Amino acid sequence: MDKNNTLTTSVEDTKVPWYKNSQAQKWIFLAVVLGPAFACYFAFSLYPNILTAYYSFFRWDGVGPKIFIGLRNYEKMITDPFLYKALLNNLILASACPLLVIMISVILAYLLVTRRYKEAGFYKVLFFLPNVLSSVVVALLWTFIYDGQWGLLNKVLELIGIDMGGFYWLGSEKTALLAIIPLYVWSGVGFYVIVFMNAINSIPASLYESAILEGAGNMQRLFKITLPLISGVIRVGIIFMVLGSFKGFETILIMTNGGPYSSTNVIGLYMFNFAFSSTEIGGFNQHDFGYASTIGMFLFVVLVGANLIVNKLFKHEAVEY
Amino acid sequence: MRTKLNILSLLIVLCIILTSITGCSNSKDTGGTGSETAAQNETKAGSSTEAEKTEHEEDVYPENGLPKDPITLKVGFFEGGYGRAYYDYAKDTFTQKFPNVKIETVYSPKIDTVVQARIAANNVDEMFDLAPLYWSTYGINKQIEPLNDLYERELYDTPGVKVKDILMDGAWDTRGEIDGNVYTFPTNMWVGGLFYDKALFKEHGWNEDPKTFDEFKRLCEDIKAKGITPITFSGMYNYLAFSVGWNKLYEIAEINGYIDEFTQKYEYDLEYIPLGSKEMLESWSKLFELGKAGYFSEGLASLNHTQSQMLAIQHKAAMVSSADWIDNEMKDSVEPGFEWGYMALPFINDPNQTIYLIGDFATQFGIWAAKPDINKKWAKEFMLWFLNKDVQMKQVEWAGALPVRKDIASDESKMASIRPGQKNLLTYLGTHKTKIVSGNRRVTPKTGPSAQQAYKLYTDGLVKVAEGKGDPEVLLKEIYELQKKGIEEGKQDSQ
Repeated sequence: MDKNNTLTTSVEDTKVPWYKNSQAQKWIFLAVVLGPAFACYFAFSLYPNILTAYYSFFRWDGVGPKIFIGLRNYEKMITDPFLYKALLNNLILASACPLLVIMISVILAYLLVTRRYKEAGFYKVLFFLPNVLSSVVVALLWTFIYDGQWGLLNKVLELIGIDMGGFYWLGSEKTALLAIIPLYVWSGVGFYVIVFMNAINSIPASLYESAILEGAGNMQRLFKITLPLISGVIRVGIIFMVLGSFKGFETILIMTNGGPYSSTNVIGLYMFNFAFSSTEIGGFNQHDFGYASTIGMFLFVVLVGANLIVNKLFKHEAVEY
Repeated sequence: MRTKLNILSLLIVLCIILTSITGCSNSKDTGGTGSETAAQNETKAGSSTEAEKTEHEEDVYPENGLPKDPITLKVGFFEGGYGRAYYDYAKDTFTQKFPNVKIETVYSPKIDTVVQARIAANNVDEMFDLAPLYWSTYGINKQIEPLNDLYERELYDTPGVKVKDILMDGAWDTRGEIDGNVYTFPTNMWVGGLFYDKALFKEHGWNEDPKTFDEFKRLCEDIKAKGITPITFSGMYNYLAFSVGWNKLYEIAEINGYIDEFTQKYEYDLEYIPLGSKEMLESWSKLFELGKAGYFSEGLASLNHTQSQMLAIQHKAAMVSSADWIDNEMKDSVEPGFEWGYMALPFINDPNQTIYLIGDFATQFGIWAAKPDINKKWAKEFMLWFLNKDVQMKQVEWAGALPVRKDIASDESKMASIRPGQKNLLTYLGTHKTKIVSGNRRVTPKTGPSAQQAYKLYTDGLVKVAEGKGDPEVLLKEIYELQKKGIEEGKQDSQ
């Protein structure tokens, strides 16, 4: 009887359903865990990017028939002075903004952590505040700061004896792009203060204590301990900010729409205007999704290039403590 | 047993999926918006015997012959300076009159973006029946319905009177037409020009009615002498075009004595390039004269329309270039009793010549051609409804828009309720030799990216010239070359 039972069990064991097989289980687990994420990535990121590459070979107004024009959009793009002007503006923003944000955030984070102010919590909220405001609100706020007639900046300058005579900071080719930088810095610092504070807090206090015992001053501690040990976080911050400043354009769209005379135009805005802006010539609207997609491909190359440059300049070094 | 259970579970899951798919595919054909309903209606209409005919007559509205079957119209509404109250009034009265019609509306100041997203989705059911579908963009691809027949229709509230006979003069001239198909239908009218605070002008004794360019320059000098900037506008969105736009090309042609030839060329000649034309050069030269004299405010390029209009309200500038909706748009920002005055910026120096104004007999909607016939028919009825006297009056009273019916515009009792700003505008139109042009061309130039760049340079250049900073000849030469290149690119693409 026992022998029979044993035989039956061993036969059942050999008929294990395929999905109970350990290899299959592993694949099912991977599919369940990664599937939804990959589906979303494909639907909302990869597929639109593939379509962008596809559209770049067409002349298409977004609603009518697409006309295949081969590489003509790319030929046009290579000799497009407006695009290079926009790229230059992007480069200025991508060089200035991340640098200023990182410098100011590191200093503020270092002070808030090391000085242990009673009001540190309040400052954290204060610095983080711009991050909870929508970019539209931020843009409008700064538009009014720079207004020639009622702007805060001119009034403050007036208080210290500088009369700007109703100067519109966003209305001049010479000052418009520079005027956008403080906005990006103001709205970016708060987030990185929080990030860097957490990074600094994770550095063992013993390192600072021994440095103090050996007579290291504040600056030495900042440059010899803090900065090297949070360099990884800084590097990620720089990558995010550089890429963000190349991609972002909504603030500029609201504040200047790329003007005056393209002095604040950036690649993203240039692309957006080709695809969506209503330019009427004698009653005819002109949308060009094909050329906008080509600019999108250019932006993609710029972003990859920027990423490589940042990686090259700020090498990732493993830190142990 | 366990295996059986698994198979059963699998079957249940399959059933659920199949039911969902069937459900989704059915939804396309159910309800008033489905093409099946339209087909059924047409079948009903086609297969009527005499007995059925009487029955059928009871099933249709005598006013328009359309069936009483439930139907839903999807409408995308541009919520701009005129607000939405008048539209809601039209919608409510229309659905009260025709209770089988349900109107679902999406209101947005960026409705064009919503429309583009829906077009991209390529789902006819999801697409709006009526939306601000710009006539040239969609008409060129025949994606919207021609509206020629609507002009031949009798008005709902004035039987016996056809639309074409009741519209104000000029409405037909500003139509949007491609290959004989008219895609625009006027429901209200707007006019651009210079708007100012009447009280400010009275206080300083400034000339409120400069009839010639020289008189206008003297006015600007008088204003400037009081320390106030004569003119402002939104450079960010090219609001100067509401005073000095395509209209001034006509005026220059009138001044030089070839208006008919020019009109033909501008509207029908594909080879004619308005950007950079000699008419534009003359127009910009006059503007440059004003710019060099410092008659425009500082920082124009950074001003949005609200900022520029506030400058006029707060007397930092005397006049603002905008359109008649300014009255409604700024009503919450002005003191009680504030009254907008209106004048054009004349380029003529002979007061007997015509001043050309930019304006349009506004078309709020285009009808999506791919929709079922029955939807398109009801959509047309809804458009026609906007010409009812009561709806027109709500546009006048609530939206601050100008009426398009002659009988309303000429009826003093009706015009008593018009906003003062609008009244001043109509008075100006009635007392001056003016013509409203929209700048619409009847030919469709196919262009490449350079044309869009040319337009960008044109809008930038206009500001530069108004600031007295850019030489019109140099700027227009560059714009002309770029536009020409754009046309070449368009030709190349079509080959």
